[in-house]
Amino acid sequence: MQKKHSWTRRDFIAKPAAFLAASQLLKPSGLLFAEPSTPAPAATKKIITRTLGRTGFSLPIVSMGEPANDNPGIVRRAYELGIRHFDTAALYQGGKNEVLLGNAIKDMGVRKDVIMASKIEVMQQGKTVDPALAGPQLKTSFEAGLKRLQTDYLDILYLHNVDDLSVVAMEGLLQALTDLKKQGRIRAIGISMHHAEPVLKEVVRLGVYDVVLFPFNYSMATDQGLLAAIESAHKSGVGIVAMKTTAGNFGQTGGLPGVSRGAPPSGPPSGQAGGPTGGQAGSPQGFGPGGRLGVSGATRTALLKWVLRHDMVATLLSEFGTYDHIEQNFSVAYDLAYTDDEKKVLADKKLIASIEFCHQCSQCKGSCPNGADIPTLMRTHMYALQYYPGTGHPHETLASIPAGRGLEACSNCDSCSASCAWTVNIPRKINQLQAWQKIVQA
Amino acid sequence: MDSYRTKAVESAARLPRWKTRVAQLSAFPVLDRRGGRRWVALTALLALFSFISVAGATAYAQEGTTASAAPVSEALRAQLLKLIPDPLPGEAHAQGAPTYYAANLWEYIDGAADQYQLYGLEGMLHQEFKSGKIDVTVDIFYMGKSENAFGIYATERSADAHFVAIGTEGYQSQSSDGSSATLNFLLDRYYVKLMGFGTGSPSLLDAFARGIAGRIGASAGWPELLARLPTAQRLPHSELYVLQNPLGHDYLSPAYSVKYSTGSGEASLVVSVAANEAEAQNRLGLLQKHLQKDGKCDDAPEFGEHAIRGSTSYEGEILARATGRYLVLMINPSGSASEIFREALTKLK
Repeated sequence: MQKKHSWTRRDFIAKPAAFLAASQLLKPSGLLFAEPSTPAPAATKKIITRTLGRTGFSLPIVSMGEPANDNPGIVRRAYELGIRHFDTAALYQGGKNEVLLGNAIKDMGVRKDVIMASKIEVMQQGKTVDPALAGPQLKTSFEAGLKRLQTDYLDILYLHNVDDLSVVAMEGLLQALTDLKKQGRIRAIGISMHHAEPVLKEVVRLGVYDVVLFPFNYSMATDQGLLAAIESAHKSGVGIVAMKTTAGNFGQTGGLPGVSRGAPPSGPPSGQAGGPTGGQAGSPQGFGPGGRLGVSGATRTALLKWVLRHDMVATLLSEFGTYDHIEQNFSVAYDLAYTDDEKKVLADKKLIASIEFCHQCSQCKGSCPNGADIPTLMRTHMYALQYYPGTGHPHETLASIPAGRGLEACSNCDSCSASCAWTVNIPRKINQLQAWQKIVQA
Repeated sequence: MDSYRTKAVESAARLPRWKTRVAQLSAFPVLDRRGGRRWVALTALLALFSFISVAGATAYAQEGTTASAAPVSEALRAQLLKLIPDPLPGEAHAQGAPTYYAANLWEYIDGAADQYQLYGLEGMLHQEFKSGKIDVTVDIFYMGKSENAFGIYATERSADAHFVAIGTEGYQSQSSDGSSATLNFLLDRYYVKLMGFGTGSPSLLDAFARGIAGRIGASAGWPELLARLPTAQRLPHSELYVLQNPLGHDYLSPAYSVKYSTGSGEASLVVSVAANEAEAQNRLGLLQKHLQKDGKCDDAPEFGEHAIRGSTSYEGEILARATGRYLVLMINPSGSASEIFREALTKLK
């Protein structure tokens, strides 16, 4: 008689086979090895929150930037998962983005539970703002924004994309913002920028702005000036919100992964874990598969964690194109420890080398026997072939180089001997710039 | 041996030995079994070499420029510049030289540039004018394809805007005292945005817009697929062309959407355009999987074969069915939405 629980030879073969067959049959229906619908945090783990400077707002460390086009489901899902800070701007989709966010928050009935932030552009699309009109125009734009957002106050109102220090300190604007805060129409005054270091210093000096929003990502890891400016702002009580945390939207910068669309960092590429990165070499150009971000999951979460492992950053704005993005990105809000895959991403030296972002450190200057102004030539290359193709910027930059130190200095050499202390292939970029010059002069 | 092979062998016999080998390998693949395998091997090697060459050339090209970072060509600049009316309305004169933007559009409009890049912006002309005390800014976006121009135009228009009959469609807004105005319009592959500051700017912008539309010269028209969708109960100006991640799902890209008034609220009809019927079915499968994972999903045989009805807490209720190369969805299918859904399925068959 067969003992209970003992397997015969037939059992030994048949049972595993039956199990395998069942697993293949059941797997498509999701009944076997079903994945949870939301990332399952460890039982002991909670959403990490931080205080946004002197505002006192306690926020999850991952927030939502620019809600997806005409899809309130994204906002709802973000709220479901635990996001409590939603950012938009009057400029996005001509104001419709504010309408989308306002509708979603109102439909959910959670206005009091969330931090709503929006931005008003004061530069009027490149036009210099008139100091006499700046304050009244700001207030008019603000009222229109409140109406779109269907709220009677904003938690954070930013001046949108201001790098001009004279605008940062413009009395009319500061007075208008302060008035709105005193009236309770806004709870915190913010400013968003791309050239962060000088603006942060001015923000600290003025003592009026409560929150700052700027690009901060792994490609800036050794930008000591920027890091010091952030630290200083943080210590002075300014709330720090990071954006462009996956080093820019791939495909919008000439196909160079990891290149931020913001201002080039002022320091050399990172020595930490091999240097700056922002995505995998060969990331899709433009907006291909994988969505607008175009990077793998581990790359994305590695980059987000790197930002958030700086305690001075209260929260970062993450753009979510798909529901998968929300779940993946928000998963870092539970745990900032790097996984093995994320460590590999940050240690990938080939990826870092592929970035070749000139950080204008000028250490290359001595390596050219003809005294070519290599940093400016590299900047010209960046403008001509990456950032400002088809505009006058590269021509102006090239023209600004003193005679004898531009590309004409290169024509005396059969091959370029200039070398970069980091990862830039100077000879190749000079060749490309010379080719570009021939084309535009033709 | 058939006549073809006979001729091939005879031809090969008259050739030098190395040519004979090439002739054998490039001859009809069933010349002989070994020759056939070698023919396949040579063809495969040639294909591999071609692939490597193309990939390498592409990679090299991408080091310097890519399609997304390509400069605004002289031809496109000239094309855009020709659209500026001549003579200028209101005796306006240009303030400085035109500026052209492409991948660097963010420098001009920051985060708003994302949408333009998404919709394939090929180049944009920015030019400022002055007419008396009125300042005018003209931004002409060339989107490459008419559906892309429609896509970006539609993302920015509001259903309650003041619409004007310029181009395919336009809308205007102005301050209460008429001292500032904006006018945006769509025509063919162009999306044109005008801003004016100064008393009298609304009428000046109107003149500029009509002048530019006349120079574009294309006939007004909407994307063809929209005309095939039900028109009854359609909410005016609610049509969208979503190039990426429609409804938060990348596999539904691209898709058209239209809103309808259903008697008990609003419903959205979404048509995901796949490459072919198989791909549309695949998209349906992915949607079904998503609904099963995050909510619930059942068959909906009343709408035809493989139709489904599902819901999640954040998307609400969804009907879906594939027809031809389209995956048709109805979001919030209440009231008369089911009938609109059926009509759409019929019209898209």
